[in-house]
Amino acid sequence: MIHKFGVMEDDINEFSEQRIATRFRFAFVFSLLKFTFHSSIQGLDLIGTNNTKELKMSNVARDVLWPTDSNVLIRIGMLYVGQGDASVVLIKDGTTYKTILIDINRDAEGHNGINVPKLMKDLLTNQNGRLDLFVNTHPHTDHLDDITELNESVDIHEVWESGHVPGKDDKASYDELQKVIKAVKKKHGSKAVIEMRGSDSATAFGEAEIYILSPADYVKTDIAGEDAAGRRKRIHEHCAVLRIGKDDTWVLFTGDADRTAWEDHITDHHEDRLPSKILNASHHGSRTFFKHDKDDEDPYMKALETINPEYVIVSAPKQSESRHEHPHDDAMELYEDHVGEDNVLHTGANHESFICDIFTDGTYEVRVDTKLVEEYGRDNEKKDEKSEKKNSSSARVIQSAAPTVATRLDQRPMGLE
Amino acid sequence: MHAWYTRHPQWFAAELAALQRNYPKFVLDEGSLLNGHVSVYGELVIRPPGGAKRFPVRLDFPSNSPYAFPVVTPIESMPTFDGSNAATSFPNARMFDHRHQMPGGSLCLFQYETRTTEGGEAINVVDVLKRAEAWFLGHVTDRWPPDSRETELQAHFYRVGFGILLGKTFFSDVLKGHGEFFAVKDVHRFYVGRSQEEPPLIATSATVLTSVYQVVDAREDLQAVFPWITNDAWEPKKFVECQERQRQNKTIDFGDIARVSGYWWELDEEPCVFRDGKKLLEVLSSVAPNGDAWSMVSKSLGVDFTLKNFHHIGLCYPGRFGEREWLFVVVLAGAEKTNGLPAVLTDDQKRTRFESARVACVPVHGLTPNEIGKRNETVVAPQIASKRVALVGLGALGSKVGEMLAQAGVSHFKLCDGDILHVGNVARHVGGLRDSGAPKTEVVANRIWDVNPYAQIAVFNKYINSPSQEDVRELFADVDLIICTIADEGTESGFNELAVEMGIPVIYGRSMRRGQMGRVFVVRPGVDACKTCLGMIARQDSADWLSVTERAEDALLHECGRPIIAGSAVDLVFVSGYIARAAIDFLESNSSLKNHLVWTLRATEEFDGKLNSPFSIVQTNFEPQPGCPSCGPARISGISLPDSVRDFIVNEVASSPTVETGGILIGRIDGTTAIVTRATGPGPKAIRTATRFERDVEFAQQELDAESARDLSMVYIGEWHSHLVPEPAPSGRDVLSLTGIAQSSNYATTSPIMLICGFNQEKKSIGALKGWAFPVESSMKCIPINACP
Repeated sequence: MIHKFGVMEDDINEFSEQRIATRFRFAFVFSLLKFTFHSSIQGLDLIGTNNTKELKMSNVARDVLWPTDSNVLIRIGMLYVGQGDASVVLIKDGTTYKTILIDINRDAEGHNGINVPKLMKDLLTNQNGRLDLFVNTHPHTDHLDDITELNESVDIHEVWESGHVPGKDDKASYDELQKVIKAVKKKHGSKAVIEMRGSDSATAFGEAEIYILSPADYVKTDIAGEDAAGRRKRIHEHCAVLRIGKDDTWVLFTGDADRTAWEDHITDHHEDRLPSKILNASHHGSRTFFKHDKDDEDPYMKALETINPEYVIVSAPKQSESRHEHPHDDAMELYEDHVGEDNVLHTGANHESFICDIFTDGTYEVRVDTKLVEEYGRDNEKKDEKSEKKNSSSARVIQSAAPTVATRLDQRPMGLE
Repeated sequence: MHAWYTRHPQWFAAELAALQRNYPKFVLDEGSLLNGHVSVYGELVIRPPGGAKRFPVRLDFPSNSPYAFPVVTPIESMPTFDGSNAATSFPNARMFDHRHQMPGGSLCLFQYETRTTEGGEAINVVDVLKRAEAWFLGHVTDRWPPDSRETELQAHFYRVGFGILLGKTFFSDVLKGHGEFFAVKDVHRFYVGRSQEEPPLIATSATVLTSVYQVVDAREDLQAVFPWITNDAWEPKKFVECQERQRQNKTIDFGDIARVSGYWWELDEEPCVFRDGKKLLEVLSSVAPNGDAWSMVSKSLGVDFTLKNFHHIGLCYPGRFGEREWLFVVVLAGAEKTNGLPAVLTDDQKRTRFESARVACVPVHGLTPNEIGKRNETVVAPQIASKRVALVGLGALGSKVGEMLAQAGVSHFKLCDGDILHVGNVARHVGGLRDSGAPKTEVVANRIWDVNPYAQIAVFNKYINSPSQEDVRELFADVDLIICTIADEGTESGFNELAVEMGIPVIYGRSMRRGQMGRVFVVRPGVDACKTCLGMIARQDSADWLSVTERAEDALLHECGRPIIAGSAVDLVFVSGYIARAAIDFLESNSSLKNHLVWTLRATEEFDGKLNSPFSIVQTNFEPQPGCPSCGPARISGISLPDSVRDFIVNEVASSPTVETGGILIGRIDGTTAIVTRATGPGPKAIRTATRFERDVEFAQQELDAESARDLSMVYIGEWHSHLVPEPAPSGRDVLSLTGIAQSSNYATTSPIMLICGFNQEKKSIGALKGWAFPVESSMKCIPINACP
């Protein structure tokens, strides 16, 4: 007679399909409940005009991500986007915040990743859609997918890109990026697009600073000289690495930078500029941060030791949902050994995002958020499609007593004791 | 089974689903379900600098879920579970030294919200746990979730007794540093009264030991409520002596049950929440010499440490509103005796006892005007505290109005009523049988002091019958508002004249038809129709005027011709409420929307159907009536007096220091101004004594005729004479003569003026020169004199 909310990872893998169906039902029942509960308790309020106005003005993205406490210097939302990366960075700038999006991905595998263009559109409602900066660490699809939709949803004022020209495998995404770059240049001038190059000095951005630590100029020149196959192979060596923060509190965004990049170009040169409280783990928790390949017996630890983070955040789906088996077990072990099991956070584990607040006094905190996934997760879109097919009117859905997703029974203990 | 989740199974399922989504590792204690509860256990994880931290918590759904929030209690460890997922151990609450953890351990995470918020989102279990996380995070980062400043620190402590009453002296800057404080139990309530409850302590005095030994007697603060504390027994020095005797005898006598003393320290900031003596010492270390709080405390407690069962300690600190706050605690260290005598303990033993002793708080009840009036904040403007209100009539209406105004924050009263409280009054009065026989002024004053011990009250233990009473003029000289509930036509009318003349606003209120109706009206002189104006309006058959006639059969009894038409207290409160509300509106802003209100309890077809539903009100605005004898403006409102005429009068008066002198005034009327161009002398046949003056009529007539002959526009405009006092005012004879002049057709004026010049016989100097107008249709008015070259 075991009734436990927690289900072990294995169970989830085994019954994932079943569990997802169950979750849909729960989510549905819950939204239905919310409605009936309110109409009974707050019936009068529901028809109040003020409420309607309020609801229009706010949205989940703003509620969760836009700081209301002016002590927040930087807020970072590392979003759950399945197999890929997308991080929102808000940096205090007087009475408002400057906005950055680092990479973007569309969860193509269908594991309820966040629809980033939709989220960004909501987030920037009160900014007239102005996104101050979009950063692309490197032109791989899982860091670029939906860039066109993003450009249609918000007004990108500036683009920073790595300058890497990929081989033909990744040409489609690259072409999309180039189109967006062209559009941004047309709208905001040719200086609105910058090719990143590693530097020893920081750039002020709002009231914080950004270091571009990679790719170094000589690396860029070197890789640019390669043929398509060589460029394809070395793209993660050519990946941008950014450090954002102020004084002693920094967050490091590593893109997919691999062992070669760190060992040959970054760690030693930028030794003093690497220490960061929070590390956005390279390459979705892949072992390539530590190892050249699976059989590499001598992992490269100096980069992690120099960065010396207190938290590591891994943007990856559940391993079982990843086509690359990200995050890799051996890499996760190395992270956990270094910062402790509790301090390695994995977006896919429970389909959640992580929000990091750095305060003006240099302290910070990391929180878990599920609201963004609940609101912007792509499962909602599927669900909407399904319910639209079944019921043309949403009002009928609410009145309907029968579940709209087929009933699946599971173990429900009963009995006198 | 009537557990909440059987009544709201869908909500229960939704809460569990939300938990599963957001806190998948939380475990439902199935054992709790069997008992009709829902308890869930789990670890909250917070992620501050330095790495994640875990806090085990128990989450309980109250029995009136979903209408109450789930309650989070930090626990010392996770419980163990048996095979059927029932908890088999129940870890203790883990206590933190911070606000918002209640004495039982649960966290107070919601202050204003109900479970459904404005936007229509319900607060669910996840929101609750997120708030708990924010609170735990505060312990590590010192960045706390915002909380209401109103939440008292002492709410987070275990409480003993009702508490201690502190008068305003304790909140003043007199108490600086540290010292001893003294209090008494409300012995009267406890020993003389019937109350079995623990009576409050009343703080009477304190000593300041910081530099110069100083005794601060605070008894005056609360003596209006507890008159007996001014008794010698509670005099601070006697108190100290008595205590010293006890210490030397090392015994505790009966008096100790009533007398309470302890030590107080002033802190630089609000202390944290603490639950034992050890943490208290930590709190005190900030003010201890060398940071050693124990030696400071043990030195203060001295022999008391083993003598007394518990020790009172007061801490004052700057509160969240910037004002001083107090926290009083008792340290339950327990007395230690051997063979009935205090035991001898080593310093270490004492310290261990003190540190391990539990601490509870004696709730502080600040009896400062601010604290008493807290519930009026933002509802009633604070400036009403400085306004002076006179209550004329302290019967069923007046006494209630007085009580309500005091409760609203009015703190200067003049109470006028000549009556005493009779047994028959108590059915409708704020006073009760124990007050019977006492003057109503005293009964109401005591009631007001019971609400506000700092109220300043003057009593006038007489009936007010006529505007001529000099003592009444004195009484009302400085009041901002009079509330008149005497409801006697004649008395009200006389009173109206007085108030209009003195320029004081009055609110009149009365109940009609045995309390089934009421009338309240505001008279700001010159702005609103006065009582006389209303009489004129009533006679004009104005459609706006609701004439409510009393029925003979309603008269309860006649007191020598004055009928008593009594209403019941339940109905009278409506009228007294309207009166009090009108008074507050006036005191706050000097204004009232409508100046006249008639109210009915029952629907009536009278009054053109204006009151045809129960609880109807008709509000009207009545303007002052032109030609109103009481408040109508004087037709002559000012006197223009050339320096030459003034000099003539002054010289005449100065040359007649022992007898009055005078004459007539000649000039012309320009609009509302009397322009004096000439004053005559008394004439040879004038009759002049120290207190009487009759001008030489023949002489005056000649002077007037000559002046008119010279300039046809010159006419008689009035009289002047001297009074041998520095500050002259018209005498009865003066008024009679001038009124007669106004009425007589001989004088060809219906509004003569009169100047009276004072003479100070002691100093042999000229006194004040003042002017009055005597319009025939109205009463005498004092009018200003303007100099002109």
